[in-house]
Amino acid sequence: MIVYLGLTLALIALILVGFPVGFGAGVIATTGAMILFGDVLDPRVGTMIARLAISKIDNFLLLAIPFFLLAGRLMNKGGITDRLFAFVALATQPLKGGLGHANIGASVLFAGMSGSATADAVGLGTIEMRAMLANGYDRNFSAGVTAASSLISPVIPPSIVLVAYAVQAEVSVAAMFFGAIVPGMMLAFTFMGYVSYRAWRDDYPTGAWPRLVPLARAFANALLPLLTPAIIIGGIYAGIFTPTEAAAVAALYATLLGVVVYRAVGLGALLREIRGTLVDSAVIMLIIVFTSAFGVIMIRAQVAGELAATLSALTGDPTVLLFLLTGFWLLVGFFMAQTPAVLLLTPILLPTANAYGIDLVHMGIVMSMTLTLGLLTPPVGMVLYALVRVTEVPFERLAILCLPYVVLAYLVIAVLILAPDLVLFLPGRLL
Amino acid sequence: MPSHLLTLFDRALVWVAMTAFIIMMLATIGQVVFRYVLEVPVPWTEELARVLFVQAMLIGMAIAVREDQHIVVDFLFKRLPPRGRHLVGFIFGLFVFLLLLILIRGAWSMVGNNWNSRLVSLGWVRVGYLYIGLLVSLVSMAFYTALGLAVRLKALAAAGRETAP
Repeated sequence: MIVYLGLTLALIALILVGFPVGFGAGVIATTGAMILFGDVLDPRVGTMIARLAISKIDNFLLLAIPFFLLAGRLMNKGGITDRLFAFVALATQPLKGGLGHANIGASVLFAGMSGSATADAVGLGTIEMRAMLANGYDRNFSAGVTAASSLISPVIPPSIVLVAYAVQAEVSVAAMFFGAIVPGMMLAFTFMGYVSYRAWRDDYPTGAWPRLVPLARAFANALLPLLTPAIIIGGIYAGIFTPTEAAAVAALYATLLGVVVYRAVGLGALLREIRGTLVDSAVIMLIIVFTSAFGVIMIRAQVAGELAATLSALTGDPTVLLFLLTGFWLLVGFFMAQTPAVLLLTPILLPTANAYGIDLVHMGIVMSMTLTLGLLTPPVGMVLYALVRVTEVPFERLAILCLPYVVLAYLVIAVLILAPDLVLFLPGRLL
Repeated sequence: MPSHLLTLFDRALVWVAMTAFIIMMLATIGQVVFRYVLEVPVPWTEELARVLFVQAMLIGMAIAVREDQHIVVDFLFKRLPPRGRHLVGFIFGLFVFLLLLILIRGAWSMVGNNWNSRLVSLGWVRVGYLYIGLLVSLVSMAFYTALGLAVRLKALAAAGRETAP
């Protein structure tokens, strides 16, 4: 037990000093297997991990990840994000601080098509910043809300991190997607509440009511992209598609819109986006392979079970446990991106969740959302890095500007821990 | 290895992976089209998509090694001086290389162990083929890692010469 805990600490240390996350898990899993089999040269070490490599990624659910990644990339390239933002900006114009609300609203719509925060930050973020600055909004406020709104993308389905969790925890992807809808909307409304407060405090402009014809035109321009969330969620709900098929249809739809309908993406650009998606997905798959091997070793060495026993000595209450775990996840989120962290931690935490009777969908949503906060915190906040260039705000200041949103998002997570039904109601009703 | 052969190898990997990836996408979309539009359930589309996905991802992993795209938490690493970065990078590369050698041995055994079993709906595909894909991926990753090690070593030697009196 002590040896394996040492290995876990070694893995954390390796990752922190810059060892590639996936390979780090591989090195530690291999070392663990050598200890488990009692021989450094035992051939079972290599065969076990080779077998896991194939069996883990030979999973139809995982195909959803590249499809959703591709859909998000093509939405950005195909001018779809511009259309979405133009419509939402017009619709929220009469609100005080309307473009702040538009920023969040557009992210909600974009989240319904894409599953990654960085796709939101880089693609939509550029458009949002440009529009807010052009309309006299303060750069700091604009940068903060642009960064914060990108947190909505990995929560509202479809979401890459939720698919990754579903695969590791062996729960239904559809249940994760439906479970994330209410939390995602809560996050959006909470951020909008904060934008309203800032708009009132700093007296941001209120626009005129939009005229019907331009509004209808902007809606018509955005209509085809707006159908994407309906196709994905509606298709899964109606049982027409599995989540993977829905992802494939979303990618095909984004391709058709970008290449054929709007003619904004040429064949060369399409191939470049497919190539980028291929490599991005492969990077995630490598982490899946090795973190799963690490998880298997930890379970075989009974570390995961011991962890559950140790935690039960601390508290017997699942709610208290989830609060304790969010503290741990926040800490992990400071240093690791959410998807690798979810992949790494899920197999180790499953016995604990089962021992406490915590619903795995509930835990998955709370865990993914908490780890998502790490996108906005130093030292490795990926959204912060992505937005430094877009917003022209230095990294440190951007992190401070995001702080109120991080606190608010944590409050939303706290509410979700206290009221699991907010997560579990929709999957219970719809599935 | 001459640089044009290396470029050829890089390109070959990318094209094999891209072809597998694109056919995988078409197979998945085809599955929906066959079921709902043509109302003909085709049992092999899912298995075909899965097999191609596995191959595309395995080769993609090697491409990511080549392009240094694997996820790294580098906030400490990038604070090291250049010489320290090369040294630490070299040690990391060595560990990755050893890991890959162990896995190559494992994958080789798995090719043999699974040679006689076949996929359910694509009976002509041996499960061993999947492990050949893994083997190709691991060998390519080991090759690229070795190239990276050589680059690090050269950089270390150059840094050593600069600091020498």
